[in-house]
Amino acid sequence: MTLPFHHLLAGNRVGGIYFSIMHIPDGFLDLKTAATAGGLAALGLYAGGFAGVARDAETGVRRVSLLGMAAAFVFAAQMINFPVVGGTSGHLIGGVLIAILLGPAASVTVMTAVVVVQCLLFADGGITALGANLFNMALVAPLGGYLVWMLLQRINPVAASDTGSAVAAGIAAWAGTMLAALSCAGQLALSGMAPWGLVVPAMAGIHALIGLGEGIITGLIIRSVRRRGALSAEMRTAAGADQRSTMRLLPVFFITAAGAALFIAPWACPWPDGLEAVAGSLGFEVHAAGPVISGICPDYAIPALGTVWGTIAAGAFGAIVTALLILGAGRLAARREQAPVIDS
Amino acid sequence: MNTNSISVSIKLGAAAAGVALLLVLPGSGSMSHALYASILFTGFWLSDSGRTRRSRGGWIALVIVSGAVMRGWITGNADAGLEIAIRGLLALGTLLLLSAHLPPAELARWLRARGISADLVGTMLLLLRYGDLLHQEAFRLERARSSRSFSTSAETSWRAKSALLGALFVRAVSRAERVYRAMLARGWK
Repeated sequence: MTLPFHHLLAGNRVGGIYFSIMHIPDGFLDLKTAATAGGLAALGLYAGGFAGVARDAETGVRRVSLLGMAAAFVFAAQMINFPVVGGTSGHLIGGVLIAILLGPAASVTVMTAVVVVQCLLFADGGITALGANLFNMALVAPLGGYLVWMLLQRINPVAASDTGSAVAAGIAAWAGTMLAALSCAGQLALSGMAPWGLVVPAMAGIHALIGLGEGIITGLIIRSVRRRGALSAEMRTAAGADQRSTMRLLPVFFITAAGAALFIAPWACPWPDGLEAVAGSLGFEVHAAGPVISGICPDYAIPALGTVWGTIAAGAFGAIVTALLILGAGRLAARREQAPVIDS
Repeated sequence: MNTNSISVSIKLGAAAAGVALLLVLPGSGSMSHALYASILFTGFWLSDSGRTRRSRGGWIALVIVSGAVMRGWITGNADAGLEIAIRGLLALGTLLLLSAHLPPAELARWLRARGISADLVGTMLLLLRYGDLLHQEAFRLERARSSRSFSTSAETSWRAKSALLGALFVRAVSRAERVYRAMLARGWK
């Protein structure tokens, strides 16, 4: 016989601030939000399950061993504390880091394994909030961060160098953390846990700093790994970092973008933006001319669908169009790079 | 108490049902909550401490209580906060009890039998097998570095710790190759 509880709490470290407070516990989300997030996570992971399918059994075994060790690395890295300020410390989250090193498909699998193990075997994150936690940490953070990384790689040639790559990785990791925090804030607000106007500044403020830490650590690790040349082309292909595997992940990108829009868009602030506020205070708002070309979804709404659903649909539509434009621009840029040089 | 003979479906189902029950129970301090807590307490009492895992339960409890205080403060209703705290803490207790009685290998077999991809299940198993090992390796790397370093600031600098994690990743990748060969040698498919 032993005293209950004491042995279960043996490993906790309450002394330091724990980087990321995104593991939503049970009781924080209402049924509709938990079910929606769970459905989106299941849909995304189901669609993503095909992205990592190996072409042959041997590659499959290599892939499992690589992903397993990457997951073990994330798990171990989360136990290494980085000093912050005032005796507090934080640690790496790792989703964007793995997405950059081993590809987005590998990152989704690794982060899913980490979040499921943390929930079922370490009680970190609620069982009813497992879907929401998976959506935020295994889909939004790595895929959002990876999109930013890809975009930076496309538009900035300096990003190919060691230092440029580290900076781009840092920005991507910061963006991934912020996107996941905003999605988490949207879920909490949708559940009525706290009003949007309160939960977003709180989550965004804390995670802007946490993301900064995540960005610096990610950038430094990327630089360190690149300098050592640790990953062979074979390994990256087995992990699914090649373009073909990434393209097969497109439906997951769309589901994630639409889901994030679902949680964030309805809470778009109805207040006037900076220019509108200045125009209003100076009294020339009435003189403003109407738009030369009317947008497809003016004021982020589709009137036929009502306020909330209209904003959700407009947000999802915008996210999909933006993703398609980025991919199209990327393809054009890649084609231009591959164009043969004709000597005169 | 040995619970190996109980199937994973029953354990997971019972935990999920318990948490769902907590979410629908009205009020914050009813007899039903007290009964649930006493059942949970008995479960912990009968649990073999050797089977339990190290968990950040204390930290998670702190997050739950902070959320509950915030909820009470926002709504101006202490009961609303208390309700969240009691639900959250009892649900946390349920998950801690589940984690103490859920062998990873059984969970993996259960997930695989339900059509979850071999990639994900294999990743989870290797994570559990090598997570602690890599943590110990990181600890050894850090000890080795601090034994060769005289500056306190260098010991705690982000650059030094990131380089350590970079080295850990390289070691993890090199170990992955060894694991891959070992898996092939054992006919893993």
